[in-house]
Amino acid sequence: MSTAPPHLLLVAPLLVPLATAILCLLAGNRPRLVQSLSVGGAALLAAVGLALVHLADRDGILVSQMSGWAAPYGISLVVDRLSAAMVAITGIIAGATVIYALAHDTDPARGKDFHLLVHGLLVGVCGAFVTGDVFNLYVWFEVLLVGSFALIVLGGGKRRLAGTVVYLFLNLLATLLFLLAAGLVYGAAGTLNMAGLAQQFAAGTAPPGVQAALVLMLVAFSIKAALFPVFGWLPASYHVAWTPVSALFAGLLTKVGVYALIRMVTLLWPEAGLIHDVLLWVACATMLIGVLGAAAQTEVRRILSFHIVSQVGYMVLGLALATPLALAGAVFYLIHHIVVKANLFFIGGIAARLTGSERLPAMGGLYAHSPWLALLFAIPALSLAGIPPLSGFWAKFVLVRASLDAGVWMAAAVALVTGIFTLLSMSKIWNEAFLKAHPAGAAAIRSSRGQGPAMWAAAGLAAITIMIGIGAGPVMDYASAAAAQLSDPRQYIRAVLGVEGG
Amino acid sequence: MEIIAAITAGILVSIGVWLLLDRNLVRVVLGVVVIGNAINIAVLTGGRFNGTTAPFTSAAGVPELASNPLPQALVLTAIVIGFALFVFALAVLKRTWELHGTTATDRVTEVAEDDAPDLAPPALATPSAPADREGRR
Amino acid sequence: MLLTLAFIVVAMLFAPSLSRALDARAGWLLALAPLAGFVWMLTQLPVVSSGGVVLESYAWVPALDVALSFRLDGLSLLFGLLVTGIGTLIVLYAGSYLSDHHHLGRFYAYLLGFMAAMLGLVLADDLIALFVFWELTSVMSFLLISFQHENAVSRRAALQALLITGGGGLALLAGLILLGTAADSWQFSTLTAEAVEGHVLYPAILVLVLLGCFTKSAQVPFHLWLPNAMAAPTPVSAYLHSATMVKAGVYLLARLNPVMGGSAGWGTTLIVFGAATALVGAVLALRQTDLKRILAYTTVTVLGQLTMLIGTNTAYGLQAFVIYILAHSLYKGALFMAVGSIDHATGTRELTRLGGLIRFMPLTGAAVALAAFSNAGLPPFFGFIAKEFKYAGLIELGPLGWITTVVMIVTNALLLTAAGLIFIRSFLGRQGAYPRHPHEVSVFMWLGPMTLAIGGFLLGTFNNVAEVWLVNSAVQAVARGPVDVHLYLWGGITPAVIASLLTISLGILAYVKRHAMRRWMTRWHTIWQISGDLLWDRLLKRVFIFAGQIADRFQHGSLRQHIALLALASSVFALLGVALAGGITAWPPVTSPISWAASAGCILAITGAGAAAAMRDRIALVTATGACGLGVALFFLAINAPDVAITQIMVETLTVIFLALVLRKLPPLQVVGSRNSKRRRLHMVVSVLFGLAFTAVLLTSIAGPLPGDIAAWYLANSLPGGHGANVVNVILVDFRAFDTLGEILVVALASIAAANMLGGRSARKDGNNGNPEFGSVLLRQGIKPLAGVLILVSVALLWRGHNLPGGGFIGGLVAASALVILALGYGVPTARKLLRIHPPRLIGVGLALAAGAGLIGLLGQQPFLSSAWIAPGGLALGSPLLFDVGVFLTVLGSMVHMLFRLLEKEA
Repeated sequence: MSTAPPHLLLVAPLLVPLATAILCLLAGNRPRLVQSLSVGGAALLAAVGLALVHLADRDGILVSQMSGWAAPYGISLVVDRLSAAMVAITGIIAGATVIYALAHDTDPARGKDFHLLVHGLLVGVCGAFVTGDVFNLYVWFEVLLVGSFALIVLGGGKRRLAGTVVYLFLNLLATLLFLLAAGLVYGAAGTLNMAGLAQQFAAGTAPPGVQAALVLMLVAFSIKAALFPVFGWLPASYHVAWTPVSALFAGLLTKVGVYALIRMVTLLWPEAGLIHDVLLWVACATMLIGVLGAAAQTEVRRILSFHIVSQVGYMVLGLALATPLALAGAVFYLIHHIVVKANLFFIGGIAARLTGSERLPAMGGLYAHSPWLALLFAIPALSLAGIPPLSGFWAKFVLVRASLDAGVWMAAAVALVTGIFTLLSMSKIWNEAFLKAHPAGAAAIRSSRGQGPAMWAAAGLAAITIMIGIGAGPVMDYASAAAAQLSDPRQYIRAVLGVEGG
Repeated sequence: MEIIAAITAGILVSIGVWLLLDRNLVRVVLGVVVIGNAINIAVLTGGRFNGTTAPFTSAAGVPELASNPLPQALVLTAIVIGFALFVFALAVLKRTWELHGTTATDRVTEVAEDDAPDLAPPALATPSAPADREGRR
Repeated sequence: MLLTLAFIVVAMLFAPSLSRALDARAGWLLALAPLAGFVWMLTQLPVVSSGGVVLESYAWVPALDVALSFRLDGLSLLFGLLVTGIGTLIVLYAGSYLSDHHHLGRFYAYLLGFMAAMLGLVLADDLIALFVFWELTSVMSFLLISFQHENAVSRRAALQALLITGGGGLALLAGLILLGTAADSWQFSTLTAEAVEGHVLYPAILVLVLLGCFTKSAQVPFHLWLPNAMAAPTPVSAYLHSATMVKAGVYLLARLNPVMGGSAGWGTTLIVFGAATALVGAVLALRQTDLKRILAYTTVTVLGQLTMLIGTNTAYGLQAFVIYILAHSLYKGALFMAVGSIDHATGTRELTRLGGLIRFMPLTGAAVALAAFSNAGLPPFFGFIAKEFKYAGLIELGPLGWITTVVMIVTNALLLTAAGLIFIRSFLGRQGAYPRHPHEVSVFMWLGPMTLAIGGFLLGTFNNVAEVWLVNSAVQAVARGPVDVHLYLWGGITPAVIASLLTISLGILAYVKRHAMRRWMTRWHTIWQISGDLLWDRLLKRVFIFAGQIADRFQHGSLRQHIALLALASSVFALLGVALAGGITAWPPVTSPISWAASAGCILAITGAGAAAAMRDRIALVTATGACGLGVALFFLAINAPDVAITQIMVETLTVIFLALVLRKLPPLQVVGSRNSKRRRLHMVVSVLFGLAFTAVLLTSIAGPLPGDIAAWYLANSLPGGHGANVVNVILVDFRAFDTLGEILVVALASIAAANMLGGRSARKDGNNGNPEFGSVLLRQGIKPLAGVLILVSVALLWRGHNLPGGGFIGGLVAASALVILALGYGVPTARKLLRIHPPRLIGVGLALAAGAGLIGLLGQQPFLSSAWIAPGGLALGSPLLFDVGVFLTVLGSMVHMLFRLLEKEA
């Protein structure tokens, strides 16, 4: 690239939500203004993300050195195809979430700083996606973490507070581990810059001690990503929050952990090795345990929460296989799953509002009462279960194919069995909440008045699911190109440090 | 010195985890503080203790044996962040006591596994007025 | 071909609204879509029958070699005609059958959706495209079976069908992927037998593909979903569960026969499973008294026979396969529809209540008679030819063939009995006891069965037409090489004819002796009790129990168990990391001289923490925590980190104040640690292990010398590049200001979150709230000046921070402590008044200043946060200073915000 990188656009994924959060804070007690600011900010973020996708696809890896100090002394901000896609999808989910939150609801969390905190959280999420510095990554993790603390407890109440306690302390422990790991990475390798680390690894000059610190860091990411055996905090807490909050969490938060895992592992260990073997086992266990846990649940959000765990396993499987095809599958899965999972939480929330409960035995009658909602549920549910031609099918297909190509039969079998259990869970919700008659009679179903924004948010995400499924060609091309970038760290090193790596 | 610091951090972190595993939420909160302290020591240890003077320069030049400024900067902010999180945890502790009437961790957290409550029926009167109010600050 | 599909899909999309607008007549319009497809297929007959194929291909996911490619050959055409032809009749039939159903539009949509999927399945040339359509048929089948959705039986049946066919589908997916990989081709038309059969993966492919096909085509032991699927409305049973979808499995077997059918394993497996299925279906059929279930089980039988026929791989066998597909679809579709009509007209399908219907429903009766004759395999119906060829095909096989021929004879005889039951029992004889007065059904309801039944009759009589146009090309597509096809009704006295005669006599015997047979069968009640359904329920229950056990391991709701697991797992992985790094390589590691002051700090910290872990008293706890923090501060000071030490002291002060404020409202702590000694030991182990892992990782990481020049670079460039002598501060506001921006956001968000939770400001109006914490007037005298001094100090710290210890963080904390003192001394209202600005606004302004300082760089086309300096009168002023002011304000605002809320709620 001869022209200067678009510094403003590169930092915009952070600045847009940051500015939105500040404006929401200053707007104070004017709910209408706050809502408009929030929706506008999210839309702008999505636009920024799409612009970055376009640029990253055209120009390769984009770099901006913060404060104008070159790496490794300053902090590098790096946008490749993967991070650009993550920012775009974050913007879209954020938009859907804040629109969803406009719908009428009796939950006490509605109002209460929700929009301000969402945008605060988004700064952290986007920051984690675009940074190229280990300690900086910790800072953005911390931002999204504290944002999530504030959001999960929003509205209060005994049960929500109890869930918050679990969420708070387990995540604090994880983040402290990350802080330690980041500090020790510097202590061992003398740099915090990811490209610098990658260069050391590629050249074989990395001190052996740094591996211990990095493994600790991977453990911290795994906790965030909710991998087996350290996923316990997720199903213990996601179901207590306000619906849009759990939808946002379900869509984005674990995926930040997965993203960080993908980023570090592909950069530092591009060739399959011991780390990948461990990840493979962890991924398989995560898929199975998560999906079995889900099968035992009888509440919509609990089922969905365990499925998050299970599906994170798929993404990590792609990472563990480490072939370009598998990485493309992981990237595709990441994008697809964010949309689908957030949407399922949305729709589960609407269904609960209409039926008056999210316990499956107490739900029912929605198939006859609101066919549109049924259709909206069917799309992400089938997609999650990997039914073609929806987005989830392609994600699963690629990963199974990659596993079989690599001769890892066990992983392919686990992925497929997990698929059938996912189908079981989804049909359980469908049968109980939609097909079955409402236990208290059809009259017990509440009016859907005021749910317009929520329905539109869900419909928008469902449309994206269909588009990714039917138009899988271009999306898969992009994912493959992103995977090609990931499997060749030299590109990253060259872009950030301006030197040939390895 | 590094070894002493590493052992100190290890002992502190052990005590911290022990506190986290306590049955009283008050000690759990303190556990976070103690672990935070231990990690701050550890991060500084990562920068080595070669320096004999604080990292200040002057027009005259850089002191020969200044301590490593980078971990100090990292830890400085980590302390402030840790404090903010600590206060949040304290607020959670306080709210827990007010709502649950107990600070026994497991008795509090098992409530999260209770069945989901029924949703309140939508307010019929003035559906938009109170609910649409952005929270007070 | 895509156009045909698209046409049906469009009809599907508009079905609900059309149905709402046009009521029952919508069916006529919607039936045009499949009819158009049927007509188009008919026009392709000349091309295909002369050995040609029609190809169409569209790129779909090129990165995965997946294309939307279609190929019309003899086999596809045969199935395509059945799908669209019967589909047309079914749509018309459904309009009358469900005319009063309020969800008729939805029903049409599902039916047409299924039709599109099924058509896509038989036309697809791409392996993955076929799978896509395959799964869609399962989904549509689920929707159609559960159409009577308020009925629990329907829901269960739908789920069962979905799980069994879906599970098989997943095996199929794996099989197809392996197939494509092995043959290095993703189109059926370019697969070659050499590449597939010789490949090392062939056994795996075989097992997986067969699993998929067997589940879909209801072969034993997966047959149980098919009879249960009869919970669907009758048009669905007629269409999906007899004529089309269940044949998808045998279709794929036929499709793959040319490239996979060469091994002995293929033929044997198909024949064994097919024979078992045929027998099970036939025996179970006779036990039923519900007409529809009888038909369902005979379908199972037929599917078994079809599978056997592919397995024979003889010319006769494959001819029989093709003819039988055609014959069965025609007569079974007719019979199902007729049974639906009977149900519709009389209100019952129970065999015991039926009889003498011919007087009321002559047209339906005629259709049933024709279809039943074909079903029974009597000449001159098409079914007869099918049966003859079956025998001929099996006898050719030798010993295995003889055994299977016996199976075939028995099952065919039972089919004949079933056909007799259906026609003779319902239409002839005495009039039954009906819940409703029977009447002939409307035209669309008898037209369908009649058309199909006559079709079966005509094809049999004019069998050379069928041979020339349809059967020949289909057989060529299934066979592993060219086959000579010649259909005939009478080929002389052959073993096949003898077998036929045997079948017919056996069938008649069974019909006559049916009561005795049924009585005899009931004696084996233990066998009937271990039905597949029961096993299915048990299996599902087991799975759920197992899942529950797994879930309980993680859903105990105990924070301590969560933390213990997390800590344990982290320690183990961290130690693995240490091992990966080769352990603590250099021992003792490179160390610097021991500082006694720092060591004293360490001891103080450990003592404090230990005391906090052991003591119960709240005051003691606060003191111990404070001691720990002070020890750490001493350590920081001793290792030449003054800024960190000052920050630590400030934070520690605030920590103690906050802790004391909260703890005094809480009850005294009852017990230390856990009561349970076993758990206590476990926790001890977890803690110690974690500490050991922690130390090990730390020592491993610092084993070598610190590489890189970053520290030196910062020291060297701080003054020239960052215009500051305090390197730590320059790092914070310039070199790594991006970190700092995130950190003040954390502080801001945490304070907002904590303040939210601590309660509302509205409580301030409560008179009691305004009271200061310290009543002493004397004390208050000193507070205001002290606070003023602190504020001044804080500003000074902020200002000088760039060059001397201090900076935004420290300044903000000091200023906050000034307000803490004020609030404690004079009450929050006074403190708020003195502060003038609402704390959240202060936070907002602070963040905005910090971010705004970063934007200055962007204006000059520089990266975010790039510094800009001006020096009016020699005084260096730059954007980093502005940034530091932002930090100052944010920290101040956040601390004060939390404190005010805490105190307001406290009093």
